[in-house]
Amino acid sequence: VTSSPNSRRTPDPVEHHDSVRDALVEVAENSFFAFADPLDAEQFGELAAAVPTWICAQVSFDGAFGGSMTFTVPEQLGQELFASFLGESPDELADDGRLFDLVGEFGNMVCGSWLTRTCQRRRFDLQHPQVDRREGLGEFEPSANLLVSVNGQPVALGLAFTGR
Amino acid sequence: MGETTPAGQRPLNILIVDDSAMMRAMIKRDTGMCGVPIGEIYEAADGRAAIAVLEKERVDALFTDINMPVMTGTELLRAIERDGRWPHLLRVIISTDGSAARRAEADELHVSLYVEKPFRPEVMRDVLTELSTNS
Repeated sequence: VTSSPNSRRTPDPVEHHDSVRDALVEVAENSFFAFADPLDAEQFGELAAAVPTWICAQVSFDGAFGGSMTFTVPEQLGQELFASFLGESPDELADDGRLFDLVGEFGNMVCGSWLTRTCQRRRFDLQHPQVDRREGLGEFEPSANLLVSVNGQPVALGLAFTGR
Repeated sequence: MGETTPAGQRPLNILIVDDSAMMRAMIKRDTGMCGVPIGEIYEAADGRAAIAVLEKERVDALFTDINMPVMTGTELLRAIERDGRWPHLLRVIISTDGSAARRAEADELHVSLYVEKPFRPEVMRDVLTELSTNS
């Protein structure tokens, strides 16, 4: 990270991708017993082409600085994490309430963990995650997102800061 | 309720407060694996619902998130302080916010332990072992 998000100029979210990735790896391994690896845009595109539906969680935060993190995962990955999390059969599908709760909490933990790493001395308030289902990625710009694979499936994290 | 283990230790009754049902399930799962005698496990989705449980049930230890709708964890802990009916309640914060400012605030609210999310299941074992020792 080369700049603090609370510096006077508008920070570049891409500069925070390394610390966001570290937070995601920690959450995936410690809480969901999953493995995360980096992906480049081409690898992400190939994996994403096979994904019919996505679950997207947006977590807004405010404190020393404000913004939001968007966490987008294949619905299939959400279901697999749910099954492994509760020790249930992969054939047992979570309903939308539980699926959205799980993906939202995953995003919430990544966001909170990243904020603590980035700004250890200041506290933040995180809003309840806003979660929805999407048929595609829409106007998705790979270079503006942190791209990783979680258990071999494509995951994108976007970060945006609000101006002060 | 009121039963004791062979070692004479009364099981801890726990209240888990988190707006995420998945997180409550995770904490519940980890407490069940820790080997510490646990009595009843109650759940609440926000601070206001947690107070309703405290008013009805005997709770030994409170595990609360911070960022929640309706009443936050910090507001809940302040309300417990003001109320004064639960002086022996063991208080644990489980939050993604591990900042120094938040931890200092927790100290002022007589929080026994502060657990940062994400945590490994064995962390919950350590927390409960410490709480049962001090209860």
